[in-house]
Amino acid sequence: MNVVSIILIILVAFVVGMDGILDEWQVYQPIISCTLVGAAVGNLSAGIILGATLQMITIGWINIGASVAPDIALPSVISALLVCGPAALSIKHGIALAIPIAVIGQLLNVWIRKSIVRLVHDADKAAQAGEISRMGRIHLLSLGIQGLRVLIPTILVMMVPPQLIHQWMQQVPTIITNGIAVSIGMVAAVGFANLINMMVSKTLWIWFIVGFLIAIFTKIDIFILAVFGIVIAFSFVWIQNKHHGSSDSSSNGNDDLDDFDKELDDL
Amino acid sequence: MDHNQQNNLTSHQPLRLHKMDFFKIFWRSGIEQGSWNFERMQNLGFAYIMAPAIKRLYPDIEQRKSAMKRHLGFFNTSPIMQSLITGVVLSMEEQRANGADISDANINAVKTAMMGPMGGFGDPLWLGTIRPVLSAFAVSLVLSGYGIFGPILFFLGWNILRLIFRYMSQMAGYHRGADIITLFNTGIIKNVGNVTSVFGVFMMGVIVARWVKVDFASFANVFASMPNGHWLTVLSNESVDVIAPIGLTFICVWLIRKQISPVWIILGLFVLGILGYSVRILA
Repeated sequence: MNVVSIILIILVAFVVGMDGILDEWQVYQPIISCTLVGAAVGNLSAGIILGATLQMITIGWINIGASVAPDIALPSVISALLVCGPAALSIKHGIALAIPIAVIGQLLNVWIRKSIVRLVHDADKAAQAGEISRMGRIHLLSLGIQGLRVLIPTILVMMVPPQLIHQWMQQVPTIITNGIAVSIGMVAAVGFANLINMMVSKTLWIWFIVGFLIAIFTKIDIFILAVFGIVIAFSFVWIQNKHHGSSDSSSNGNDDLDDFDKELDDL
Repeated sequence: MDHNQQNNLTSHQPLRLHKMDFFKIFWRSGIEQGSWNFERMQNLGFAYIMAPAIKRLYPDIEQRKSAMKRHLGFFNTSPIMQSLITGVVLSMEEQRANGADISDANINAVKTAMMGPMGGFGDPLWLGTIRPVLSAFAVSLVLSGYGIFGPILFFLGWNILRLIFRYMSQMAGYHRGADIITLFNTGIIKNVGNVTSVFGVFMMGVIVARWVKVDFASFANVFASMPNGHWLTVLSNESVDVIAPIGLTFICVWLIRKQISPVWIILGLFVLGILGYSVRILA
């Protein structure tokens, strides 16, 4: 890798690390971060394909409230670096590596979120002294530490000779890599299940089934299905309000599905 | 309170936030969660966002200190919904700086009253629906060979929506002040929430149908020796293509509700894939 690529990767890793905690710009989502890393090392198309594949898997990994999901930022950057960069791993290998790295990233994230408490106490002191810009600097410092969370492991990986990584991964029996490749389509289900667990309650199961049946028995494009989904969502809520008044829109009907949801809960 | 009133008596000019302050606060909102911590969560982030307003409204150092301390209290909500809360708090702070009888407790009560519902509304909307649907669009563009347009669509789509929403909700919160809480009772939030859920869950069904795949090897070998074997093969292949994705998804939901970590489920599926591949059930 040339110097420009190295500098660009460092920059991308830092920005992705910061956005991983911010959850704002979404450059840490694999479809963006892998693309950026791919562009940095001059292998854009591999980055995009890896990004899209990882995105399918991580679509439902969401930090709600105070929970911390498996990390997305660190595995995206490192997998993309190894797949698009001189280590030239296959996409299968990249995805197999991404899962353990996601756990490492999650542990680092939790550790930093705990350690930052100390800085927050410094911010309390700054408030006590009325030093408003110092308080701001502490906030930005914390953000920078989250950037380093991805940057430092990325630099460590870059220091390992790529030929070595390539050789290591060649040692893995093909039955394992092919087995993992076969399971990618199944692994996507875990992220969706996580989302469904959060979104679907009581009366909503029916809409999941409707969406599933339409999509599996027709070849209609996903964009058109989305427009259709918006239309039925609006009309359903409109009809519901007309029939029951806007006050008790959640309590009627669908008892079977209620029970089904409860059963899933109880199992 | 004494300070407020004295301040108001000595300087007759009302303190007002400048246009630039709103822009600064809007920009700072984009890095709210930078200091997310397990003690008071987004507290420092919220104080950081409020800093330009605190500087403008409280030239007096004691008042400034108390405003900073006030906003360092526990805070956590869905990040994008925070702009609406910030807007409301800005209007309260401005009134307070001009001598209105608004206490620390009043401001904290509004923040606390809003952060729960906004979290419960915002997370399913932004993280549970808009982001998955946009990423599904992006992935489907990439898989159909449009390459770079997938990531571009995702990045622009999300950020344009997010920035417009943040700016508008911050200003709406500021102009309506604490009255905006009455808006919650009109059913608007509930209706938007219902539409979001129906649409989000519908799309989840669509995405599961298109992307969750259990790659069973063909049943051709199993039925080869039987009469009508061909039709049995076609029939079983097709029914498995329908049942497997939804069945697998339900099993995963069930495991997640059993508090099993997604990472373990993923590793389990890897093992299943390797085993299935080695005995040629999966291909």
